[in-house]
Amino acid sequence: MAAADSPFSSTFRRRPWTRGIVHLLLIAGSLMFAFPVLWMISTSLKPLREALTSPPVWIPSTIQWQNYVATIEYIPFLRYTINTVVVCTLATLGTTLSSALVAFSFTRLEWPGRNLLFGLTLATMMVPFPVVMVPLYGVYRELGWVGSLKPLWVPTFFGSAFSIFLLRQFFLRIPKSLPEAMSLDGASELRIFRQLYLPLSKAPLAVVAFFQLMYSWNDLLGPILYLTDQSTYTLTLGLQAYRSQQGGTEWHYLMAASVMTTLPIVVVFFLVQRAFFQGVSSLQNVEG
Amino acid sequence: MRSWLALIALALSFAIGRSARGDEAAAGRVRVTYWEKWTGMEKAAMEAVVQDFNRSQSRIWVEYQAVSVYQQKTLIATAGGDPPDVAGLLAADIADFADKNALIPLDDFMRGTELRRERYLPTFWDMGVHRGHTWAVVSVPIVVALHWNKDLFEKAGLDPERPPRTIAELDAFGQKLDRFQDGKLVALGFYPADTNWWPYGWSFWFGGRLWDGGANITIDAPENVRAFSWFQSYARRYEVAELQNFSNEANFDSAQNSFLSGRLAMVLQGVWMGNFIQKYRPDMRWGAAPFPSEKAGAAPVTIADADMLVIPNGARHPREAFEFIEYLSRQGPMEKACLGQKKTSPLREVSAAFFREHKNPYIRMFQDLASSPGAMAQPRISVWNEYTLEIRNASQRLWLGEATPEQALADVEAVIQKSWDREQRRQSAPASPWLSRLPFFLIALAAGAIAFAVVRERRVQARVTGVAQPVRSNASLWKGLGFFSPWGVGLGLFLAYPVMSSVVYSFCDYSVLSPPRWVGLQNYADLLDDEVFWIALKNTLIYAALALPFGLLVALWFAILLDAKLRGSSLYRTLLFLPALMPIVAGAIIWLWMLNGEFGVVNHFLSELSFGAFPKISWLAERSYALPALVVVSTWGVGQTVVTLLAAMQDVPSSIYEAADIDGASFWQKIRHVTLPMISPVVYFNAVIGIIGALQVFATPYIMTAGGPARATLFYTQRLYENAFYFLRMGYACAMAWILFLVVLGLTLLAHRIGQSRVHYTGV
Repeated sequence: MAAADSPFSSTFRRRPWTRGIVHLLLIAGSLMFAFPVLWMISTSLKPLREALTSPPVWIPSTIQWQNYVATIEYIPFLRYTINTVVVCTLATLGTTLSSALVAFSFTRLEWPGRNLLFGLTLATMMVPFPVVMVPLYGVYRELGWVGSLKPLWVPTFFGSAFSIFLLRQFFLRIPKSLPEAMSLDGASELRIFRQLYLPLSKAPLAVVAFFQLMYSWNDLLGPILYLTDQSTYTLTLGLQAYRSQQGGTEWHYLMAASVMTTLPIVVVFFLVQRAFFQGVSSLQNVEG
Repeated sequence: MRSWLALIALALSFAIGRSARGDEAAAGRVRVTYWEKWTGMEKAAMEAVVQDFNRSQSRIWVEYQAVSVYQQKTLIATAGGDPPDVAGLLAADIADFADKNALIPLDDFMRGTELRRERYLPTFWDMGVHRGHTWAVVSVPIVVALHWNKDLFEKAGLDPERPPRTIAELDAFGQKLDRFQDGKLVALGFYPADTNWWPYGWSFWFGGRLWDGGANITIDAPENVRAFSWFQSYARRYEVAELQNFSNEANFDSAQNSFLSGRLAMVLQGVWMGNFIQKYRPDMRWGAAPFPSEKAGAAPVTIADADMLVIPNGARHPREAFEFIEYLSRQGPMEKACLGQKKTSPLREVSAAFFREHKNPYIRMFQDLASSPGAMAQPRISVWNEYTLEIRNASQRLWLGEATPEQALADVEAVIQKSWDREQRRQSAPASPWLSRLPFFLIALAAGAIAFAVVRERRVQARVTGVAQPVRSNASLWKGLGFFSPWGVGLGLFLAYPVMSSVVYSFCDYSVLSPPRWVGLQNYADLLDDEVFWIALKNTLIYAALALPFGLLVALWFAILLDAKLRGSSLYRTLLFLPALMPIVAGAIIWLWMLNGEFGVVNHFLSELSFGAFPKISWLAERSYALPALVVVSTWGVGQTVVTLLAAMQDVPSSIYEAADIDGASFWQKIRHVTLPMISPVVYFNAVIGIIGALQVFATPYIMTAGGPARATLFYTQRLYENAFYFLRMGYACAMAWILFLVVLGLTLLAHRIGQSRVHYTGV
C-alpha cells in the first residue's frame, strides 16, 4: 500500500483515533441504508399476521422458512430465473462491447461531427420513454420480436447512451501521450483500442457491465410490454403475481420473492466489486 | 467441496421439482388468448372456468394470461394490430375503447345465443352498452355496502343489529362510537376517506348525478355539493392528522386495517370485505347493510362496478373468443367464477346453491342490492378516467381544507366540461395519409442536417489548419464512423423512427387506437393553458432541485469515507449499494410501510430517539412533507453514484496526495484541491445523469403516493403517462415529452457550461 493512498492517509498516521470515527460513520450510514432491506428479509420470514403491525415486529415469532418454499411453488420460479439469466448475460455482453467501441470513437479519434454526435447521444437519454413506447412497439412488431426475449437484449448490442457516456468520461482520463506513442509506432486504431484502452479500463468496464446487469435484472417495463407467453417471463414480471387485488397481497411471499430475486445480484456485486475499485495501478506510474 | 456441490444440486432439484409447471397440450385446436388483470385468488377462480370450457369441447383452447398493467398492454397491442382474442377490462374503460374503434361489437355474435340482456341484471348489462351497441359483457360484478362492527356497537350502547338508515343517523352513530383517551382519538365511528377508492360515489346517496347523459357535466349540482360538504365535514370535525391514523390506503390488506383491528366501527366496502374479515379477524361479529342515503325512506343505493370481457378489434379468432364469453354467461360457469372470487352474480337468476355455498354471510343482501334500481354504475362517458382523477384531487383538496366544496367542484366542472366539449367536437375526420410517411421524412431531414454540420466542420477545420485533410490518420472520418457505427445503426433502427414519430404525434390528435389527425400547435397551446401541466412541472423542478444536490452530496460523503480503504470497506460498500439492487416495487412498498404515520418504523425511531417528543407525522399524507419524503427515498438509492465516484477516486495517483502532504495540506484542502478536481469528469457525469433521472422520476412516487395528496407529488412523467394511457391523448403526451426534453436539454447545457470551467480531464 502506497504511503498516501487517500486523503485520509496522513490524518490516520498522525491521529489514529480518527479511523474509529470513519468506521462509526460508515457503520451508521450502512445500517441506515441497509435497514429497509433487513426489514424485507425479516418480513419474508414472518407469518402473514405479523407483516404489518404497530409496534413493528423485528424478529418473527416463528421463523417461517416455508415461506420461501411456498414462494417458489407459487410461480414457475426456475423457468423465470433461467429467462432472466439469459437476457442479462446477453445484454451485459452486448452493452459492454459496443459501448466501449463507441466511447472510443468519441474519445481518442478526432473526426468531424464527433462532438455533435456525442451531444446527440446524450440527447437520446432525455427522451421520456412513455412516448417512444408505442412506435417502438410497432418497430418490434414489424421485426416479429414481440413475444420473444429479443427486444430485451438485441438493442444492447448497439450500445447504450448511459454506458457510452460513462466510458467516455473514464477514457478521457487516459493521457494522450500513450496512444500517440503507440500510433507513432505504427499501431492501428483497433490495436490501440484493444491493447491500451481496454486493459486500462477494466474498472469502468466492470462498472458498465454490472450496471447493465442490474438494469436488465430489475427491468420491469420491458418484460411487461414485450413478453406475452408466460414461459418467457422474467423474475421481475413474476413478482407481480404475488399482488392480488381483492384477495389480498401475500406480503410475506412478496418479500420472500423479492429477497430471492435480489440475492443473486447481491452475490455478483460482492464478488466483482473488487474489480471496480482496485483502481488502475498502471495509471499511477504515469505522471501525466 | 463435494458436500457443497451436493447441497447445491439438492437445492436445485428441489426447486425444479416444486417449480410450477405450465403448458398443456393444445394440439389441433384454435388457440384463443385471454389477457386478464387478475392474480392470486381471482385468477384461480377464472382459470377454473377456463379449464372447464376447454374440457367441454375440443375445438377451442382458451389460454389465460395474467397481465400486469393490463390497460396499457391491451391498448398498445390493439393499436399495434395484434391484440389478444379476449381481454379483461374494467367498466370504466369501455366507453373510451368503444369510441375509438378498439372493440368488436358483440351484437351480431349474440343473435340466437343464450347471451341476452334479459338474463342479466340491467345495471351490469348496460355497463357494456354504448351508443346503441353491446361492446362488452360483465364477467364479475362488484357492489358495496356499509359494514359495521357489532361488538363496538354494543359497547357504545347501540343496538348491534340496527345499522344507521340515514346519513344523519350515520353521523350520530359515528359520534357515539368515537372514543377518546387523554384527549387523543383512539377509536372512530366512521371515516369516509379511509380508502377513498370511490371519491365520486358519495353523490349517489345524496341523489346526485355526475353527467346528464348529453353535453353537460353536472358535478357542481346542489346534490353533489351537499354530498361533498358532508364528506368534508368529517375533516372539519376532527384533526386531519389524527384521522390519518385510521387511513387504510396503504395497509388495507393487513391486521392493521383500522376496521379489522377494531379501531374503526363502520366502513363502506365491497362484497370482498368478508374475505378480509375472515382472514384477519374470524372472531369479529359484523354486519352488512345498504349504505344509508340522505333522505329517510329512500330506496337502497350502491355503487356498482364490474370487470368486463371484450373482443379487441383485430383479434384473430373473434368467433371462438365469443364462444368462450357465451360459455361464461351460462349460469353454471358464471356462478362458479363469482363464487370463486367471492362476489355477487350479475345474472338475474341465482341458484340456491350459490347462496348456500357462498362464504359471505350477507350474500343475499349484496345480491339484492345488485338487482335493485339503486345500483348506480359509473357514467359511460369517454372522459371518465380524467373525470375520476379530477374528483379524487378535489376530494383530497377538500380533505386538507384547501378549498370549499363549491370551489373544488366548480374547478372539476371547468376542467372536465372543457375536455368533454373537446371530445365531442372531435370529428371522425379521416387521418391524413401523409402523416405516416412524415417520420421518415424527418429522419432524412435530421440526417441531412447532421451531414451538413459535419461537412461544415471539416471546412472550418481545413481553413484553420491550412490543410485540406490533416496528416494524422486518426482524424479520418471513416475511422470515427467505423467505431461509432454500432450506436449509429442502433440509433437508426430503434430510436430514430420512434423519436420522429413522437415528434409528429405531438402535432396531432392521437388516441393510439385511431389514426392520428393533424392539429398543428394546438396541443402545445392547450398545454400552456393546462393547470395540471404547470403543477406537474413545478413539482418536478422542485424535486430535482432538492434531490440532485442532496443525492450528490450524500454520495460524495460516502465515497470519501469509503476511499479511506479501512478494513471492512467491502462490506460497507455492499450494504450501501444494496438498495440500488432491489426491485423498485419492493423498495417502494417497504418505504410506504416505513413512512406510515401510525405504525411506520420511521416514526417509531424518531419517537424513540427523541424520547417521545417527536410527533407521529403522516409523511406521505401531508402536503409539506410528502415531496421531501420522496426526496429522501430517492437518496436511499444513491448507491450507484457512490460506486462510480469511488471508482474514480481510487484512480487518483497517491503521488499527488503525497505532494499535497508535503505542502502541508489539511484534509479538507486535499478533498477540495485534489480529490474533487481529479474526479470531476465523473461528478459531471453523475450530475448530468442525475438531472435526466430526476426530471423523469416516475415509478417510485407513483407506487407510493400516486401523485397525492392533492397533487403535491404529481410529477411530470406521471402526468404524461396519465395523458397517454388513461385519457388516450397520446399526441398531447408527446407534446409534454418534447417540452420536457427542452427543459432537460437546457439544464444539461447549463451543466456543460459550468463543466467547461470546472471539469478537469487529465487525458485531454
